[in-house]
Amino acid sequence: MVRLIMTTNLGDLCQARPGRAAAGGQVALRLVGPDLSFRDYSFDQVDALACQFANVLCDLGQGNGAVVAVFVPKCIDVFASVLGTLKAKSTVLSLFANFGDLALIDRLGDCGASCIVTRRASLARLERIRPSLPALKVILVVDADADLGPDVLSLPARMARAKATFASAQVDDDTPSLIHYTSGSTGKPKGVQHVHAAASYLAHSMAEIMQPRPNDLYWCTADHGWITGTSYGIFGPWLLGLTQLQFTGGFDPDSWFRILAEQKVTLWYTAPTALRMLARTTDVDYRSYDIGSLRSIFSVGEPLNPEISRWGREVLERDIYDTWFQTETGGIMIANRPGLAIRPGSMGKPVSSIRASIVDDDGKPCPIRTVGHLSLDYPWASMFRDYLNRTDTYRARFTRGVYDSGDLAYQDEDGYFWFAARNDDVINTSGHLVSPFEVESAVLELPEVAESAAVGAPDPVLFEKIVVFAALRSGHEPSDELRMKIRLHVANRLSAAATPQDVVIVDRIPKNKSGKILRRVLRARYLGQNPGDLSTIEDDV
Amino acid sequence: MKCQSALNEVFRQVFANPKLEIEPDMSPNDIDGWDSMAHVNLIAAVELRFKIKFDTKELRKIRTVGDLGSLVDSKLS
Repeated sequence: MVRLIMTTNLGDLCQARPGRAAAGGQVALRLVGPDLSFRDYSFDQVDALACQFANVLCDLGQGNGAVVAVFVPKCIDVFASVLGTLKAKSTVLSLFANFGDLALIDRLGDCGASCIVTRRASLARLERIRPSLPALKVILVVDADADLGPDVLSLPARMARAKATFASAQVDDDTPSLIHYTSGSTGKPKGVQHVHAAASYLAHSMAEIMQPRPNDLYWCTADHGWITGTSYGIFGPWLLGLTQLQFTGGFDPDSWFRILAEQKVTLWYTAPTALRMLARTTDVDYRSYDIGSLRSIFSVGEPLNPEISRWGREVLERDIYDTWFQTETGGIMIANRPGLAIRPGSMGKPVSSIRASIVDDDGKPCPIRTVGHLSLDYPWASMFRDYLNRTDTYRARFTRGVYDSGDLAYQDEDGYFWFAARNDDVINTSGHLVSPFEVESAVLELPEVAESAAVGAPDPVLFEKIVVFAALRSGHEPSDELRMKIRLHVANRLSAAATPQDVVIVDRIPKNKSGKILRRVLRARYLGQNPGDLSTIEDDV
Repeated sequence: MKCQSALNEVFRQVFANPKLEIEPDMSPNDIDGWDSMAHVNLIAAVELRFKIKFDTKELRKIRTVGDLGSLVDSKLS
């Protein structure tokens, strides 16, 4: 059994001290590059880098309450800057490196980030949006040997001069740690505020669900812009003293299976979309890779379809344990796990310290196998503590006396939970929650487009794909080039994850008499289904 | 790369960077936003621009701008 070691400041989790599970010289991080060469960092080395980063921040006046954005693809600087920021009692804003201009402005502006860690390739983008970010004071560039401007600074140069020790700031249970943004049906993305106290739950949930052993090599494929990438791609394994592997390359079936085989990965946490892409790749013989060291596979992001469970058993000769949580919950709430019989397609059962229930609109428990609101008793240590600048919206998540996840689900007679649907128009594409409002707003920026609507439609790989409907201004005609322009514009303004997979040109967008877009009508028509009651529609379209 | 000029235009559009100048040895590390997901958009835009189609085996060999350019050249030749 791995011993649980708690820490007050989440940034200190790699710090060597008497009694901790991992020795300081033990490998904390194996960073594997696109060519599959790798470099190891010990717990001591990671902690020293984090201390140096904390010193850099404090020297620049960015300690104690500043918001530091991490906007760089996976590399050692991600880990140093996340932990260093926490040591300095500042708050980490973790961003996907592929966020577009609008997505960055919304997030950096809303939380008032004053410092950003990035790379040279992203500087043009940042300079373009900087006039919209008055709070941004310092840009730290991870791959610049010298300063590039008065406030565009070389991080390596400053790290080299910084001390490798740092007396971490004292924190209490409510001290902010991270902000991840998540999308809703309407309005701008919401900043989900997490706290240092999450540590205890992250360690507990990972120990219970993944059941690690001291010599495990753990690989979480999630990007750190996603809650999984921080909760279980940085904190969870290191709180348990585990060695983790991170891959800096992209999705590639051969590379991924070579890593599993050659590195002898024992625990693998990935996403259903990735598993579906692997399953659909027919020209790679997965049986030719020796993945005998791999003990357990876990997935998170969207429901794992039963076909993929069967593929895992047949081709990988292993069960795939699906887990469920949200940006707001901070940690795994409901999961399949070794020792619990899998019911393919089910979410599994709650973590032992979590009480989940299915309730109706009045908050009363639903009968067995009746779909209702998936809800959680609160509090738990890793739960979010606010929506930044939107406390009323935060409070609205707790109106039935429980936390309302926004997911609809049911429970069977044996206590397994089963996902049914979202309770809103948010689109879950490859595990990324995308707001139709944000997509529609981006599409409307194009001069050719008069009206737009975005809906999610089932997709065999992405779980849901984004479908955009656009009505054109007079003088513009549908073409493949225009559809591509719409697709790329959304990708560049929001993120590649928000790319519409289909663009349908229509004469008009159906709305009700209040002007609200009738997405259910568009979705039904797209899927060839009956759109249902049309009595509220503005007029016949 | 014979197609470099036209390919450069596609890269500029896909990555919303009108000043981007591609070079054959550039990889995703050198171009802002070029990750696995954006790569799908890049390929779709290249296929549309050059009226060609790639198969999955070909796509997996692409590591650099030069790999993509050579593939386009071979399809057009």
